[in-house]
Amino acid sequence: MTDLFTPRRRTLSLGGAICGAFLCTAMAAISPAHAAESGTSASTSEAAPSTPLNDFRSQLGDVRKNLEGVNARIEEKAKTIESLSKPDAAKQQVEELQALISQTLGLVADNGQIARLGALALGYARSKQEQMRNDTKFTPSERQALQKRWDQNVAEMVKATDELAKASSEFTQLLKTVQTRGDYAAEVLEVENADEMVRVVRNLAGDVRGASEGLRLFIRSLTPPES
Amino acid sequence: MRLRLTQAVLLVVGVGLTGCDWHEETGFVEVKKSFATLATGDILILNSTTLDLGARSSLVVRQPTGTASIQIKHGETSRKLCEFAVRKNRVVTVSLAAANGSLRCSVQS
Repeated sequence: MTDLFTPRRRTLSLGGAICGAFLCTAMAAISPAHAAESGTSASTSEAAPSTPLNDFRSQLGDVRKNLEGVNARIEEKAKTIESLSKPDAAKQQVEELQALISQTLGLVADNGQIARLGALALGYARSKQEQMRNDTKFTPSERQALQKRWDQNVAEMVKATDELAKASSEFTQLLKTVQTRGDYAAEVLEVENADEMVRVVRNLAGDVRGASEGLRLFIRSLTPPES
Repeated sequence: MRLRLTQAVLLVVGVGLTGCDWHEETGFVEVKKSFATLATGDILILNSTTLDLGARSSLVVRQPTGTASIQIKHGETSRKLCEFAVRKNRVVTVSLAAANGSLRCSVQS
């Protein structure tokens, strides 16, 4: 799985290009063998069919774990900031904190992968709901049971996507707090008051801890829809 | 011969680039609206992304760093509402409000 919390950077080099070329060539070369092997592995994974709903559930579970991990790292960062005494170190810590929150916000942003999967899954659940309403194949009691399950599913999907939107809003507020305090600290530094700058950044640690506590409670409430 | 060699090099580099772990620098645009609904047929666009606010009052979109703009499109015609800078790991808030029958845009970064 991709590490979504590695700092984003431009990584482009001749070595990378050559490495990519070799990898792609190798993949192309082994693909027939891989295809032959996948015939057996596909049959073992048939137990959990890939549907938009299953994909979303699994991704949302991963996102929740990642959010818990990143929240712990935000708290660590707040601790580090409290022990600062030099303006340069303070500036660097604020920038690192911004990068950390940005990576997390990228996960839950409205054009992020999880939001897109959520929209797909909700669309799928709604189409199944509609299909069951118009069904003529099953008996009335079977149709009613399926309708009830899909109604419940759609309601849970709507709740989950609303929670994601709330997470996006919470992390946006946190990033805005950090960037505004960072900007203020930079202004203070510009008027050459290093002690005051360090004090401003240390106070930021308190804000971040408060937000982190709120986020922890929120993350616990972030629940993937049931199967 | 030289042409073939150049083509081969370009092919290797091209394939290599697609295999690279390419990350571009990004920031975020928070779009807030304080109006009920858009006029019929109007669409809000951020750079090339269509913004579907629906019933929500705000949304957050990841964007590459650089200059971004919000436009309102109606059929074939479009009008730029505002232009702003998206900076690395930062949020820029764009508030949209209705004023005198049209939309106004204010930016806070």
